[in-house]
Amino acid sequence: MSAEAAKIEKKAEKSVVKHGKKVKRFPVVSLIIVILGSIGVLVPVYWMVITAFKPSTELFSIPPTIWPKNFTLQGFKNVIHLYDFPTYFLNSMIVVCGSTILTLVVSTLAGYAASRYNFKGKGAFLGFVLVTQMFPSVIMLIPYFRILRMYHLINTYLGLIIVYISFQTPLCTWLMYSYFKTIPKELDQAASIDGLNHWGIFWRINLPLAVPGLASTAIYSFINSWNEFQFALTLTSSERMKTVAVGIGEMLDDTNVFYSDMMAACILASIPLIIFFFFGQNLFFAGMTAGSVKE
Amino acid sequence: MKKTVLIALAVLLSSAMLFAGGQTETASSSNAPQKLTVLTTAITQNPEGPLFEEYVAEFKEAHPGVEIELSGIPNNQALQQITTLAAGGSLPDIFVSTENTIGALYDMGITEDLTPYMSDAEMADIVDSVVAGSTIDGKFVMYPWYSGPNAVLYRTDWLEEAGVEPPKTLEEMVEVAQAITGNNRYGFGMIGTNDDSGQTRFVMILRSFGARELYQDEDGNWKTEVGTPESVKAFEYFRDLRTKYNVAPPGALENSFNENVNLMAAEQIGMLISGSNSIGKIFTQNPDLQGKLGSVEMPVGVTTFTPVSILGWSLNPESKNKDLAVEFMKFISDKDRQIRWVETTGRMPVSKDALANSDYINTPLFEGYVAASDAMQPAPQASFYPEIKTELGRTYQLLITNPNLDVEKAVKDCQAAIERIIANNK
Amino acid sequence: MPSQKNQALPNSETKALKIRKKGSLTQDWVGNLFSFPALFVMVAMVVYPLIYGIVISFYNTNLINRFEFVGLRYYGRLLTDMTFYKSILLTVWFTVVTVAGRAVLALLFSSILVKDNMPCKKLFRSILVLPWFFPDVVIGIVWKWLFNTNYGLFNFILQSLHIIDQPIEWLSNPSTAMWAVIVASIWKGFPFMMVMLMAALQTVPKDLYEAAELDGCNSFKQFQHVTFPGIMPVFSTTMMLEIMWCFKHFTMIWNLTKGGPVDATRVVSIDIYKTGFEYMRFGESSTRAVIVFVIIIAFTLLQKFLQRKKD
Repeated sequence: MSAEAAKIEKKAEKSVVKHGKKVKRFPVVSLIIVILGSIGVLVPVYWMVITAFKPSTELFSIPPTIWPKNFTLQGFKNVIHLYDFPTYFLNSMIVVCGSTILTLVVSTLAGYAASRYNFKGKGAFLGFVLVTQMFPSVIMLIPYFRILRMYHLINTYLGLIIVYISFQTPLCTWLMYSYFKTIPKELDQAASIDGLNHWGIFWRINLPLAVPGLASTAIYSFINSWNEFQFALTLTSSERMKTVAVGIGEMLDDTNVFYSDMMAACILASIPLIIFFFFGQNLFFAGMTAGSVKE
Repeated sequence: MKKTVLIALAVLLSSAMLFAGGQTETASSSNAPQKLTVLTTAITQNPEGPLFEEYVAEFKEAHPGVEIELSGIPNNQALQQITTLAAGGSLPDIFVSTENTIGALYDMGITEDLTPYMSDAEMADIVDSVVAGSTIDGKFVMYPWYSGPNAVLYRTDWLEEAGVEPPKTLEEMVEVAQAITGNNRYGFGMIGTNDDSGQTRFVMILRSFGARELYQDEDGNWKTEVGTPESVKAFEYFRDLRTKYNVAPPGALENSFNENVNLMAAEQIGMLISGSNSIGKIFTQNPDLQGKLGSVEMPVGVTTFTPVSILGWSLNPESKNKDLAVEFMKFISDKDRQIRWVETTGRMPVSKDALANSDYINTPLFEGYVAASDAMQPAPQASFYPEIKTELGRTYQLLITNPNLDVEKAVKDCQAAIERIIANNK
Repeated sequence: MPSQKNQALPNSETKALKIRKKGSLTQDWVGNLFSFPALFVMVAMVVYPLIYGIVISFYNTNLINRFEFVGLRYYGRLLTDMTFYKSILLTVWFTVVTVAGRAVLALLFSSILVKDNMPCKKLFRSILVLPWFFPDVVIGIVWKWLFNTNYGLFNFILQSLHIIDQPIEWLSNPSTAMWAVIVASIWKGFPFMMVMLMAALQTVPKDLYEAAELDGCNSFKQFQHVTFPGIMPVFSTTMMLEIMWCFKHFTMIWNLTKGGPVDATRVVSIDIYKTGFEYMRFGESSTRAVIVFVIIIAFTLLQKFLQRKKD
């Protein structure tokens, strides 16, 4: 092969690299960054996990044991038998699913309205929605308690669902508002020329495009409600209404921390979230939008 | 695909609503004559929880037809929860109270005076210092269940090894601590956090030096003795344990009660001012220490001070079942149950009878605690007392982090801050 | 650039709409209808607590049997109290560093984890998102443990690698305690922003990248001209939310340091909690909260003003 030919071939290869997607360079730097990040994330998580498996005699041995000398499942057994976590789990599921779904309905509509329509008091509406987020929540315990008591909703799923909706709606509205803003409006105009009405434009055009945003907003709302402790504790005093977060929070006291039980409970409580996220991310992140925009 | 997801969501949602409807409880203030609502810190704990539930079951057995609704709350959330419940008009019949919260609860007017429910014999059986600690303005507002006086818990084997006796005075405490420090061991477990655990232990030292952080003079005005030479000595003493004698482990300012218990179990510290409930925790973490711990009453400076530490029950004045509620309190804290309680949880009985007749605590291990439970003295009952303790905590943390700081000036600043708090709350 | 056009569109377009649609109520009507449920929730559930919080800031009260009107006394006392200003400044400092840290990590990881050629994307995403899944309380305890001077993992690792002889008192030393708290807070908080940005990145049309690449943009320029404008609405919203959260953040700081040592981590939320539920002075506690509230509103208005100026 002549030198000239080789040169040409090299050039051609280069241009393929430049223009074709498939032959991209292997992202070494990115990979290193992500691996370092993952290590940073995993060290504390690792500590949580092995703590759950350590017997209480080994928790605070000096020097710390990086790998448990004696494995025990006592923490997990306690979580299930001593604390009745299955019940807490069911409670959490009901409250959190209920509030997440309702929050999404409410805030998607509101976020969409704010991003597409110029209705009276829109600025005030967005501002007001945000204002509610600014007050430290401790102060709000008593008024919330009173509201729920007025409607006889203390110690009920519905009461907690309503409270969580009111917590999550402001942020979710803002998030959905900003996601809808990223969707080009040309599509609306095209659709309206095609004869779709307001609802049709929302439901058939914009909502499908906002699925990644919707999904991540859903995760946000789900996780926040799942881990909410203070209000769940105050608003549901009865043992059979406790949520997972309350169960975990109660393992910590001024004079007592049940480390192994707590970590075991925490791991069990996060497994659904992890599975949900790992397998669900295709739904959120697969390039479905890029495809649909082209349509 | 999308449709199935939607349907699934709809089903989930409607089932959530269904459950919500089905599980609605009637408010706890329903008029069933034989129902008691109880708010307790015991059931969220272990081993306290299971034993308490046993007691409750025994009570139900002895009182057929009575229904008891328990709700649990962690200790550090109790005051907040009770305030919220009271403000919302849902206060249970009986709720937990401690020496730290009873002042605020009394101030809110939600604690019934229990004196009319008590016979002379019953009152006489309760340890005198506990009665004093449960009484405000002559009203018996907290029915004591157990006490948790602080004493010095120490490693008998380390002291023997070093050839020293358990400390009787504050100077001796330093000497003993120095004698057993070394080889990665520290003589004194310092609770240096600025929280109630740390502050209370410092108050013990401060008062032993002869300075009161807060007291009422004859005219009923609140005064402080922080700023006196005695108080300066106390701050110096506390600081020197860490910075001069090096008998307290590093990281003292982040180590609260829990961390110090961990350190004692990990054989890092030889002495700890703590309640008897820490003994059980230490043994769980390190069973080898059984037979190697002893206790001695708080060492003396010019005087000595062991603050009252009680957990008890208060009665809602609006309860519809007051007699039954008092019956419940008495039932779960009778002599035998107090003895069983200390054997399981390490919390000290408040009944003289139980104290004298428990084989479990009449041992060298509990010696200091038995003495201490009789010597508890009430702390000031001012609503702003916690704030003053925070100011003390701030000052000792400041001194420990800056060992070269002028102690007198720091204590004067502390005095000014305390006086400002008193003035603000006139 | 097309995406910038998108950016500029909403405002100019809505203005145009306003002029065109003056007198027509159809658009207004739909917008109001769509936002009604949210408004209803807010009015039903949030107005009362908010007013309640503001009203009790004028009272000396234990919320049960003492309601003594004190007017602006607490405001006066706080606004002349140096320690209050100190805690505000400390809170600002905590907020700025924490939010900046979270934003940098979130931008970095999210832009890497949506790349087509990145191997094991799913796995890395699932790992990096983990801190978000655990409750604040537990994370606080774990980090307190890791930082512990005597039996913490960090000191153990540093000592076994012979980087240090004596353990470092991370949380007992006022000069390191704040940094320890910030590290823990960044760790706990960055996944939220990361996920939000990953979702936003999906809505940036892929052909824009291709176009940019054809134009010869390097990856930095590509980020500057394509990626960032595309995710700007989501980025600014999440930033705003993050700032508000950090400003009133409580749980992690409380569990790690309780505001200590001395006053090294005594942010406003610590004082709000302590005055309220430790000192039982709810009026004063509320006063602090109202002032924080006003500061955050002022900040939001400022941000909006700047944004409008930019547009």
